[in-house]
Amino acid sequence: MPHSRLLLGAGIVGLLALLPLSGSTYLMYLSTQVLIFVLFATSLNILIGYAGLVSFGHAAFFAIGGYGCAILLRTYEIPLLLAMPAALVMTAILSALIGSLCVRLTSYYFSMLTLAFGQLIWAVVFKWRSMTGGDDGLLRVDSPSWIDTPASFFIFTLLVVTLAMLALWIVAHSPLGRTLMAIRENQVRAGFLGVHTRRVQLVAFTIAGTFAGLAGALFALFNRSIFPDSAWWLQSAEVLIMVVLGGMNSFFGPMVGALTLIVLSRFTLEVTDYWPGLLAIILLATLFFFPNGIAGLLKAKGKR
Amino acid sequence: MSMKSKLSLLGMTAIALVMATGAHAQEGEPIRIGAAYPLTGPAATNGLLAALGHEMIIDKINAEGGILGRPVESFTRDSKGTPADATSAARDLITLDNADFIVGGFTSGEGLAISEVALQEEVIYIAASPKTIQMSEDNFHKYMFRTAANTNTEGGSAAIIMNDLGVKRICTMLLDYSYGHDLLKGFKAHLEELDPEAEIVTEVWPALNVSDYTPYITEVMNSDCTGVFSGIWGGLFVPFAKQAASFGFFDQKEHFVAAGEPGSQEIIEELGDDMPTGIWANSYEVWYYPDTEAHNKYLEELRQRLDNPYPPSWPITGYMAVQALAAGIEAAGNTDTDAVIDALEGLTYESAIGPQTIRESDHQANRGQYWGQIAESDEYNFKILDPVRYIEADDIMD
Repeated sequence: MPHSRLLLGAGIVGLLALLPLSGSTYLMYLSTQVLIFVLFATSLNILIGYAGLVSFGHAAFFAIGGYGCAILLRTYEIPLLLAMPAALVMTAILSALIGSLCVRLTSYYFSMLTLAFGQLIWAVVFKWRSMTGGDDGLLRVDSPSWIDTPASFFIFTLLVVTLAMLALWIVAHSPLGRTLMAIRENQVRAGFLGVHTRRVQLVAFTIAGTFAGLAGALFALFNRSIFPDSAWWLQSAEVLIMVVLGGMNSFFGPMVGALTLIVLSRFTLEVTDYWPGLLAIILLATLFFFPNGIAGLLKAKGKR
Repeated sequence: MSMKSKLSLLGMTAIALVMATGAHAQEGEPIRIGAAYPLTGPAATNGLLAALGHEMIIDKINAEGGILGRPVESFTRDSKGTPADATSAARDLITLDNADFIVGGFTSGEGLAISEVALQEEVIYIAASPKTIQMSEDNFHKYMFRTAANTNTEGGSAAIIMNDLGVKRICTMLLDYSYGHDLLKGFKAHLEELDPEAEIVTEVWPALNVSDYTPYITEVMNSDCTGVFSGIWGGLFVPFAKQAASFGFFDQKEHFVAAGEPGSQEIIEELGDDMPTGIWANSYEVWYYPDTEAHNKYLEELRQRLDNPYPPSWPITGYMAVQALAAGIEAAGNTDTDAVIDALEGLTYESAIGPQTIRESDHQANRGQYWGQIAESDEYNFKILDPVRYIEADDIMD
């Protein structure tokens, strides 16, 4: 990572860490939510932007991480510092399992299969009442006392998301990231070059799923509850929109997308109930006029 | 991607938000009430009407001099029908709008999610329409109150109707999610008390939002039950009734008791001639019953707002939640959360449909159920409930 960028990133994180000084609980809640979705969207972009695999079921891993963490914490009363890593291991294993089947297919077939698995996970969550609470969800997902205020939880989220984003940045710019792009551009040629394409894609799928699980675990802690809607395809669609809106051809695009979508929807709903209509128009405009998303637009402006 | 522009965007947002957050309300200043209802998405049809009822009662209170002589300021946010969005809406109401109290919720999930926020933020929440017993049993806490009926009351009142019809062999058609299972629990418990000989012979469980009820309809038709208890709610009842009618279902099954408010004006009008005559159905409110001063005044207001002589049943949910809250604050004499909790416990308040009492043990109001038999009408071009019965909740809330 170039030094200037590293410094800028550190600067932003530093500034964000000062947010609790504002004393606004609302700001804490909003920023925490944005951070969680920044991580969720960036994890999906490892699949979409880098590997060229469009997943319609990414929320499944978000929900697995969320439910895993909530169940370990609440039902089995395991301390957070063990419950969260354990939930991540669980998400990683399930991502690898589901991924190993999905990466056998390409393009549309891959997308359809991810959608199917997403709905399958939703159905399991919905039906397995004794474990997940069914559609009544899991409530009283209490954080330990050191992060039970909105400000301390925000700082905790900032720390976790920063580390996770750093890890994802390293993945994206590692030989693995380059190989993924090579496969995205031409799978056959990459194969002839000796790349085990499916295995590389599976690794990417597992990484993306695991980090989505981390976002899900944070989300369950943040809301102190988790419901089956987290696994529903609409949740997958929402994060997909963040990626498209922000720009899938940039590492930071989904970050901008998540921020824009959340903040914009909050402010629009203050004025009008027609937010879904407005969102549709924004999406159409994005796809037709600046397919590289907001990040692409900003980049183009910066070059001009 | 330019980092500078992102930074300035973040900065601007931060400043705007901090400025929007004011200080908490003082004595003499407005009492701030926040409402979370689904205003967009599939639940919006009902949510917007509940929000209308909310708006009506706030305007009425302000026109009559406010609560404790203080004006009421209301904030409404979109809970979008999902628990996660309901959580955000409730949090925004409390932290951005500085609401002293929150009301609302539509689905059970929303109710549970808002209740969780209320516990965390230590703010009183009055559930206007979520009925799940999860809120008042396992996940009960002192900040949660409910003016809606619970599923025990709804299931129990259906058992009373079924028993009065003299049905001994019953089929159930309940939706396969917590609302359906909770209804069955309430129904069974009270049926056993009323008539130990009555038995449920067939249970079918359509999934929520299935579009084809055929397999369930035929299974019930092949059963030897003489009465059916269904929980196919609201708008879902419309496709179900049409499909069932085409099989001659309602002719074969002598008695049909439909919970989930298919007897509401909205559904009756939507179904028109397809609304099966002779079945029993419930509703939140019926515009021709009871003929009391308070109810008629409420209806008059609603007719004016909607310019509709036959007003829908949903606005009453939002209306009653605020009536209870206002009565609680008046009784407490101030807006202190603990004082209002004390005042609300055991409080009897005058609602648009008559006096209601909130019991102390689980903060549940004794909201009864309006049941009626669907009948042809000479007067209107839609069917009506005739007779209408109000089944008291006092003995069937558990």
